[in-house]
Amino acid sequence: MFKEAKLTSTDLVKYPFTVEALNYVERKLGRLGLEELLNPNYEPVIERATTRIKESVLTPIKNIPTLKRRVEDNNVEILSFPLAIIMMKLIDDPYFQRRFALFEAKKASLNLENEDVEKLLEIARKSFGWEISKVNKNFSGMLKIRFTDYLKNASKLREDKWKLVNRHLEYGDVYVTKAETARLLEEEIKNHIQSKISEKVVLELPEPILKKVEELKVFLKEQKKTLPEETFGKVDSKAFPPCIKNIYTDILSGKNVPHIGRFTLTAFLVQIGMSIDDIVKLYTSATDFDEKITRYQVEHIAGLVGGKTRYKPLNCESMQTHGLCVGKDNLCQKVKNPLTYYKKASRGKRVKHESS
Amino acid sequence: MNPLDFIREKFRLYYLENVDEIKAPTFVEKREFGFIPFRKEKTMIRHRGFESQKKLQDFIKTFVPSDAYYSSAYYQNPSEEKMSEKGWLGADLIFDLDCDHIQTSCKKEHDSWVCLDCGEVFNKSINKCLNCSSEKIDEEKWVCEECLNAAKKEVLKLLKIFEEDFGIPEKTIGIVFSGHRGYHIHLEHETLIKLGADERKEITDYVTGLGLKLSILQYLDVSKTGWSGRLARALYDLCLKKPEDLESLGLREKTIKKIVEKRDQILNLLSLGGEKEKVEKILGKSVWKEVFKEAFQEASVPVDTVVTTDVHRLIRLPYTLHGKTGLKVIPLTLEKLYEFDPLNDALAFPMDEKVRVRVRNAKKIKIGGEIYGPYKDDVINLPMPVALFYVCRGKAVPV
Repeated sequence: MFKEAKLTSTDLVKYPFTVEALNYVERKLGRLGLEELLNPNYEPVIERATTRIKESVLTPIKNIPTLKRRVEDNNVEILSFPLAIIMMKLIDDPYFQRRFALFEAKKASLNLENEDVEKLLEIARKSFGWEISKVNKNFSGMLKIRFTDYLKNASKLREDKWKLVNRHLEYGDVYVTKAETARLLEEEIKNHIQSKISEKVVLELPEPILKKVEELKVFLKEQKKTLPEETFGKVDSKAFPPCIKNIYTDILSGKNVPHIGRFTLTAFLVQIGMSIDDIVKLYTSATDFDEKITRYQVEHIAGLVGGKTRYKPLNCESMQTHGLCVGKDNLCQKVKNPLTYYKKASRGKRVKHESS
Repeated sequence: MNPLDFIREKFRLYYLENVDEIKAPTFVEKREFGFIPFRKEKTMIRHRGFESQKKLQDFIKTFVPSDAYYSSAYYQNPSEEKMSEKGWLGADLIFDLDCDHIQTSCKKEHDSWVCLDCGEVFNKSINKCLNCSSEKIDEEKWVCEECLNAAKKEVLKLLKIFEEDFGIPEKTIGIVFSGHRGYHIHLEHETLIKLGADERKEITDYVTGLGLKLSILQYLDVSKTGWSGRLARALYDLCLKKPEDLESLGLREKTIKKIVEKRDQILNLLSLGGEKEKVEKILGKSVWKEVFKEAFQEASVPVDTVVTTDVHRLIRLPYTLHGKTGLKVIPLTLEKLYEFDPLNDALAFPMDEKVRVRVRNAKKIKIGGEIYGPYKDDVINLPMPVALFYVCRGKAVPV
């Protein structure tokens, strides 16, 4: 029915989650033939899988477009992807798992944006079962996608332009540009990778790989301590209450945080003295929020524009009502507001620090 | 006779004769059922499962529920009590169109607000009694031909949106009269039953127009599907109305004058797919605002968001009776819907069966083509459907 666009092995490097890539891996290794990886020839694959995971944690999302890596061996690239997923399974940390899925999906969508339209359609149809086609035979820039395929991915995006009500919808098809299709595919790929990671499969992994996973766990644990620091400057992220820490890491890992959660995080960060620029950077680095709109919203909460009210984060009771409280620790018992928690926690540490 | 016993006896007779009309929903063994019993304490009995249509019918015949429901959802284990263990497999996409959500002029005539402390009755919406300042206010909603017709009009609008925008043919859509104030729309398409709550919310927002940004839509074009077309057509129709009709819509004099004056220009723009900005500029800000509000109401359908987004919803079972009216819940085709008059075609008993009741304080109702009431402490012989309606609404007792 459709013209087939054949994916080359360079394409599989760019899109290692596709059906074609999976077939490639199975041809090479056989179904879950992991023992095969012990062959010294495959050592680079294990190495590459490890760097994939490290990169996903260390690269700020906004830097992904500039992330240049010379691919030396297509085979290593393609095989390292499913191995990295298996390793993420064992790492068993939702934050890093989401971050990995986001990182890989973002990389792919940046490539898809500039991809030949036939190939983009081929991936959407064959790997994800989308009903999608060109609006005109001669591609005029617009594509149409079945509304159910659209909603599955767009309903998680928060910008107004993604709302179905603001779309041209005709006989079940939503009209989208190629760039928008790439963005929707990014959502699909992200969810696909996440579901692959959380799929329950009993695996007997060879010892050397298990050892690598243990090393990675240590590395990631270190990262978790220092990670939030980079964007904060004078702000002490270790003194965040559990609720704020949770929203913050969700944002960093590109998870969809409800409006009220973003509001309270912003108000909190403003109150403890983080700069507007840093807050905007935080949001735009991990999500595709529009920078101009984000800046306006942050300035609004900071009381610089609009009603000139400098908003405070929700108190503990409201946090519970909105399902943002993630359970109280000892210090939480003594406070009624996330801000008081922060003040007490950061003061406590400073005193300790001075006395040591 | 105790009113509850009276209603139960009538319902029992109905089910004894007509239980075969009740058709099990698709995949009956995967649905959860719920029933409200004839007791003072109207707690629903939920988590019931049936393997077959026969078993469902037998149960209804012996149990005689005041109201009967089934789940829009399909479950692995429908009779499991814990939601987490039911094993959700999917759910029909349903819409509820109830006169409650529709603006009609008859409401101020037949809806009233009663203070539960001093008994004073008001005919406008109040939060606090104007007589004794009590905040215990009970809203008494009535139903009439006009409300039901308004609901029907919205159903027709909704079906058109499904067909033109979503590409879902009307023949594959279930339309059901709810037995009271409106209609339920059921979509059982394979691709829709897996939709999550977020996706369903997007569909209701599309239908109600929530979150619509004209700045994104940009163009208004009568020939298009979607909001751009629907809004353009509503504006077009509005511009073609006579000044006196515009007045009866409640538009300001200034607005009406402007519409008449700029009519040709606007109609031209809408036909050619003009920019919304241009239309706004021609009309001026305040007039545009008023005109847009009117067109928006015409272009949107006020479905109940909660019903559609709830993927565990229980919905009325067709051909059972509604405990608050004694009317039948009836599935309809589009052709039947045009002609359908609930207060004539959903009666469960013949009009020539009479019963003597004492009606306390009740508004008029047109049933079976005849107007009955208003009544105040009258003891009269009434046709069974009328008597049952009043008794079910708590307005009358059998004597």
